[in-house]
Amino acid sequence: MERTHEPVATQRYGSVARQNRNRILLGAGLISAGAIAMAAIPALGAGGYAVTLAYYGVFYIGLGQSWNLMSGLTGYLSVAHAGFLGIGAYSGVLLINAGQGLAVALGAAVAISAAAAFLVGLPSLRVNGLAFAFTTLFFLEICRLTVTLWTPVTGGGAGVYAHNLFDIEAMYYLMLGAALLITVIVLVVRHSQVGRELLAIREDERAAESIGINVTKLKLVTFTVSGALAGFVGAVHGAFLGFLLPISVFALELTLIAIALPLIGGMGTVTGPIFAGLAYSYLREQFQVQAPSLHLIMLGAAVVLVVIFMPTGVVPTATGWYRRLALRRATQ
Amino acid sequence: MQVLVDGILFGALLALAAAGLALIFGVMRIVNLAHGEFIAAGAFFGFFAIGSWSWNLWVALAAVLAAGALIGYVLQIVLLRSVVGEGPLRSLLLTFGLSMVLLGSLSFAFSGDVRSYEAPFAGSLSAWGLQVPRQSLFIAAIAVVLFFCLIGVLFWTKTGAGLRATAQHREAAASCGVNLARIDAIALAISISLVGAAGLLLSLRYVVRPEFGQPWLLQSIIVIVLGGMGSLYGAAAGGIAIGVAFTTLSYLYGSVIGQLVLYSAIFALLLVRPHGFAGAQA
Repeated sequence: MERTHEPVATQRYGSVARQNRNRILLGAGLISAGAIAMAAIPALGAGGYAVTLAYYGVFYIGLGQSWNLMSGLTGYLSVAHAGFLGIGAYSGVLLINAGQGLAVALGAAVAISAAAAFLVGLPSLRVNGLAFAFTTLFFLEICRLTVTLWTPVTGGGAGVYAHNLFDIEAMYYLMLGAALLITVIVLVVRHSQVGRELLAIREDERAAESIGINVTKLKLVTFTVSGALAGFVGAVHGAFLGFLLPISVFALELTLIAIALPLIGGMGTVTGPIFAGLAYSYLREQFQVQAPSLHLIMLGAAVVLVVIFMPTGVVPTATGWYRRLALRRATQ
Repeated sequence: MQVLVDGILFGALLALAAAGLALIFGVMRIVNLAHGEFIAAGAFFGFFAIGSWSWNLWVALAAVLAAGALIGYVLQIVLLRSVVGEGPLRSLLLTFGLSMVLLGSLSFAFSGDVRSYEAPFAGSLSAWGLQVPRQSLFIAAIAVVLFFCLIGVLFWTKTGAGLRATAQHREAAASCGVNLARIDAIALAISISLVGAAGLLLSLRYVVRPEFGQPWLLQSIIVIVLGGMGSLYGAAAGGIAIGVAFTTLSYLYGSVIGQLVLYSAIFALLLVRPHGFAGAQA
């Protein structure tokens, strides 16, 4: 083979900027194809059961992607995402009950969760590793307890009903749109300068800082956006459920799902959480019929196996195998 | 005064549970998120062994200690070994996956039902105008004894010296001939057996459910944060302190506000002292 001084990737795909653009275009194409396929599900005459199942699929994708944006890219393990989801859900439902329209309620819910994420991120992003995971964990518990105690406004431990109920199909399209929006945000961020800066924080925060990245600001902005998106997902989910309990939305289980799906699919990748979210909602439903707690065992076992055998996640490992196979074929 | 006594008795058990968490954090720098589920597993064992099969309490306690040690040892060799010595992310995720598997298994096997049984040591002692349930006193006494057994092992055996050396400095300990893989496995074995025992003791007083370990994970984390991560005496002092604080707050304002105050305080503390209150190590 002829020796060259240019990196192979550049030879084959062109400059980094063009490579990024191509990846974003390719990703956007694939995602919109997938979204159109998902959007066709109710139109194909599927019943309420299939639509609900598909709804949970896109719900998990939206939740996982919102976590992925912050934690997948920066490596800061946020346990607070169910908190933002719950804040969004409660704000949405309470505003709807106060007579606001759905659009206003969703917008306000996003703003409130963004504010919450900003206020939590401001102090807690100063610490990292375990301390960050713990502060976000306690934040989630503080949210749950506060909502439980604040009975006059939130209905307390007895929960709150939404006065308006929305059509399941409409909610499905709304959640699909939310998941699509969040996925596209992750896609664009991932293949941009900002995304590389965030990945640099994940690899070595001090080194990232020393080459001039404004680490503090970048983390805070990303965390705020990530929390706001989780709040958006939560607001739609609250409208979908129509009934909220503190333990049903400020649930550690939802944070676990938000963490596990991107982790299994591939942290910081765009396709990973989509793959894992769809597979999880399908398998969960299959198992639910037989035994209601098997899905937890399955998800946990998948997490354990992935952490041990595929530290980067299923999708990157699979693409790695595919590339190596293609390379071997090309060189033979 | 009554509240203070209750708090100390509750705190002793909390200290035992937290000591298990602190030990492996000290040795391996791992926080075991499956902690709460092991407590729940111990409690279920207690429910069946003492409640249903009417085993002698001491036999059950010995069995849970032995089973916990075995499970911990195997778990370390099979699973946790691959994440020791890295950043916190992978070990958190791994133990978190483990906690999901355990929680799922417990719910699968025993459903979400609430269980409790008629425990030995009914009635209470009264002295100086204080009412002390004999059960609580007994639980706290066992917890204290187990805690001192742990201290004894750490300070008077060769393995204990290895554990302490590893906690101080892993690489230095390894270069002095400490077999790290073995020490890690022993640390997890001790940790799980203590935690299982704490669960068994809990089942004497409280109702048993698969999810009941989760608040214990949070409280144990609070204790080790307060006690300086990885410090056993810190865990003991922190356990008593949190036990008294929580019982007092619950008595005055109800348990929800008690938890809220405690969690908020620890949230603030973590921001100021990310490595814990008493500890100074990196």
